Amino acid sequence: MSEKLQKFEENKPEAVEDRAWVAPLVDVFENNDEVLLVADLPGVTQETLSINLDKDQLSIIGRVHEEIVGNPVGREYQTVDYRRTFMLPGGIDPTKIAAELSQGVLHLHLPKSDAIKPRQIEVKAG
Amino acid sequence: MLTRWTDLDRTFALMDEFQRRVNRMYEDYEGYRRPGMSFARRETWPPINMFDRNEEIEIHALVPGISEKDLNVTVNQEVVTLSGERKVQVPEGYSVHRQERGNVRFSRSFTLPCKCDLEKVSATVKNGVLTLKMGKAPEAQPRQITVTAK
Repeated sequence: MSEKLQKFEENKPEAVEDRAWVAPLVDVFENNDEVLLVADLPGVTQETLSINLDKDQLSIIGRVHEEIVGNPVGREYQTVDYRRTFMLPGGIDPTKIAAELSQGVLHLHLPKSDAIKPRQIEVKAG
Repeated sequence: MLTRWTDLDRTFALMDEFQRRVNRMYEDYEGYRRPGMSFARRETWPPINMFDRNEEIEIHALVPGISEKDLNVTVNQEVVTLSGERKVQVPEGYSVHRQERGNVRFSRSFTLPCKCDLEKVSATVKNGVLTLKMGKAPEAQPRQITVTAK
């Protein structure tokens, strides 16, 4: 049995960057012109946030810079990345998506229109 | 205490090895109840990490969407009280599809591991993270003790 275990371990895919991740809490609002997505991403900055749109899948990935500043006396949260993926309804205009990040909260404006194409989105600091 | 290799000993050694490998597989999930579950939904909010930096104690709290105006930090020798409020308003004219970030009004107190010097306290909020630095009182500072030979 130990040979089988050994083979399993050797063939396990190597985790290159194995940071634990957590889904951020999100509010989704909508009016006639746009869908507004608000996400809590404490510790994420403009440089470490990436928002990707692939056809109708919107992914938000926010990385937190780890800072261990001393001996931990008590820890209630680990340094994690924030990841969440959404399926967008048809009719979002990818060229007009706007993102603002301030106080650790992301406001993502998804204006409604026709045509859906894969895009990288720029993030502006709020 | 078994001092020679018997068949029984070898069987247990194999099981220990198996246990070790299974433990290694789950190392990634150490410290979590379930991967992917947000710690923002805990009973006591905000989540806090406390670090001892020799001359000072540093506390990090996750407070997204809360500005310095809505936060109150009170320090009383050994007890720190953190309180504040965040109101989540639905923007005018929008309908709600999903609301996970609720209104919060919180007040948390905790005892520091030592007394702190009230003159050396600073609190800053950046990117939704509150950093609270408290210098330790002089009697609580770490001290080098010289060892003398007798």
